[in-house]
Amino acid sequence: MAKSSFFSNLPKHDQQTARNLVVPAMLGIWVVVLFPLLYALYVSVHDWILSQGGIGSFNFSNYFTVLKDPLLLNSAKNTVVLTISVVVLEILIGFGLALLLNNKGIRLRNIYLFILLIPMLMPPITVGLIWRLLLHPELGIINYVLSVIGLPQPLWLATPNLAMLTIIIVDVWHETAFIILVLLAGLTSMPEEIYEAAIIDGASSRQKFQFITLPLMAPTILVATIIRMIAALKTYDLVYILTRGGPGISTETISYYIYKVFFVALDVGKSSAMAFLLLLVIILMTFLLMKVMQKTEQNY
Amino acid sequence: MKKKLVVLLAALAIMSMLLSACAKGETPDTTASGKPFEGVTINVMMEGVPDTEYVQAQLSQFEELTGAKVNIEVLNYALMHEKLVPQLTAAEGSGSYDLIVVDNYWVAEFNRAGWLLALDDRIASSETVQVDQYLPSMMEMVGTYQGKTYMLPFYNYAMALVYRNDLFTDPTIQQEYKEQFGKDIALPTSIPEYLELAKFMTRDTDGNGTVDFYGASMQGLRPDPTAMEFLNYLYSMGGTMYDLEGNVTLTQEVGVAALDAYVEAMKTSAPPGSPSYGFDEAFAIVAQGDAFSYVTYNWMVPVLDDPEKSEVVGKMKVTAVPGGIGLLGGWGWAIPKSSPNPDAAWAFIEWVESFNVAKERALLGGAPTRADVFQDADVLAKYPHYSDVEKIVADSIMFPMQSRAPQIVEVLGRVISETIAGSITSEEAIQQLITEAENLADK
Repeated sequence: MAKSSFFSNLPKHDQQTARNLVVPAMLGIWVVVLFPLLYALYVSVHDWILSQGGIGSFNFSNYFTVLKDPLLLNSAKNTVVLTISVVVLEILIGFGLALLLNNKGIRLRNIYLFILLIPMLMPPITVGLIWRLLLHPELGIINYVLSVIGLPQPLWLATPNLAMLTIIIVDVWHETAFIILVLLAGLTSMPEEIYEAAIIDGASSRQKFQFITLPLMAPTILVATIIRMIAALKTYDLVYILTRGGPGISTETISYYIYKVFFVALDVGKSSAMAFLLLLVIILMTFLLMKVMQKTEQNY
Repeated sequence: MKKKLVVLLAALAIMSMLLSACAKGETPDTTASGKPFEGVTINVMMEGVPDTEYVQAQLSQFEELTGAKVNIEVLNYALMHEKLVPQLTAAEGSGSYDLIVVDNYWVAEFNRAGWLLALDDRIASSETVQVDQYLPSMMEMVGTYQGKTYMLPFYNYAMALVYRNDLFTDPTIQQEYKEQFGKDIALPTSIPEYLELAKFMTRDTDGNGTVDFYGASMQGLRPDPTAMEFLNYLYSMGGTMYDLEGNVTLTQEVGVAALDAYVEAMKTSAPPGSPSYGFDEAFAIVAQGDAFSYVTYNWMVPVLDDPEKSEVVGKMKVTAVPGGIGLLGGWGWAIPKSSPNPDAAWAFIEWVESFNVAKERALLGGAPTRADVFQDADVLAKYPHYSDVEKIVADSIMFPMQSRAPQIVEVLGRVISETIAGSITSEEAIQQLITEAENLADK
């Protein structure tokens, strides 16, 4: 049986040209993605602390050692709390706002959209620094406003139970814009005819939402969820700027912990093992979500 | 086809020559102007602190003198280590930085890894630099490592107690203190005395029922702000982390007492947000006039005397950390082995550490490291407190010279922060610290 290739539907004389055109890109991917990835896999099974000399002996137990590290397990727990909270909140708020903005009759719609998208244009470091100033207990404007209207002024970043909630609030403020943008694009591209037919059939607004909007938007929502989930699992910048993992270890996330094992402890072996475990979790969760997406599409 | 190939190969060869010229550093061209480093760019990485600003203000002199262009990349402290390490591991002559400044707790790490050039030969043949000009405590910390000189001390950041002298000498407050404690107010000579004074100064100044003035401004942010601050309490109460041979000397008894005192100061005399404050926030509290004292770097006094940055101009004084022994800190100039232009970098060090340039920096508010600058009549006339600072620098104890010092700071910051947060006790914190300090010690 003839082996089919990416180019088999092209005329024969074009196939070689196509291959030649693809080769540089493939080489680029090899050099900047696959090689570092494979090298990281190689060092993840070796003892190697950067400041203590060159790469050491083979040590597969790096993977078992890091899985027993209570600080990694704590940061995994924090990451799960953070990821579930921000993804759920951002999808709910983002979808609600996208539905409102999809109403063509709304006045100044583009201005609202622009304002809502501003946080997305800011780098996370800037967002962290702005919020750190806003949340300053003595000098920040948020606690000042709360004091003026007679409400208690929380220690947003200094209270262990509140610090994670604060990071969640800041992340929702920053990232919801992305969800709005993706879901609004999905809503805008929905065919009008289905809604017109539903109106003729006497469907109520709730029924239109439940039986048309939601099923047709499900794949878009799922894609947005996957992208946000992957990004949230890797949350690092906000934690770094806002709390450095504190108070105590209450806001330490996996990515931030891996960063410290690499850049502070200079433990290349263990940090690579941790990074690979995180990669596995992300691949697994993405795979599961895609399965759910396929099932959802079949149901409708 | 062949012709095309030749042209292509020639173009590639020229490009690679150009690129390798960039990577290996530019060759000095002395023919045109007689300046030794005409056309050379010296890339330096530095922290965004006052002493860096003073060097920037002086740069044009060096550029005029040598023809070199100095490009200083100013970074936040927290970003420096992670940006430096990949550059330091680069092959000889192929890094991005010609010259770096090294914080004292990176010294053993960088030298054990063999990332810095030894400077002994260059110093021996130098006319402007002699190592005995520096205070011995500075040379020991950011000068030598295992008998060789790898750095020259740039500025000190010995920690001290900076306090509001206007309040300390206020007759009403003095009277109030005497009535409450039955003795005259005095500068604290021990940590317990400091806690007492800081608690006394913490008060509600506008009578609205809320405390709005604090006895101590503190920085509980992980890892280095809180770790550095705590070590002053530990050292002043007689504790240490390691001895000179690298054995762990921290004991449960002194460690717990110091940590309990530190947490008590934070809970009773510091602003409520202190567990999350870094250097900038703690500084802002003092600069706005909302705190009596601050265990911080001795060179904060000139900064707090700057009307553009502070509302307490002329009101601050500096003294030794209560107990007399604080944390000594400092930075040293060093040339990485990966430096593309080590000769130009050394010329810069010779210039920047020459007496006149170091003195000029001290007059701008810089923190000296040379004894002759500390004792210079003009410097003392402008900053009389530098005679006290010289003693503080001489008496303070540096962070342990351990190659895994950044990780020791990380562990220290974590256990302190967990104790403040209440998730572990001070006994558990010190036990964890002792165990980790033993695991991380240089073997």
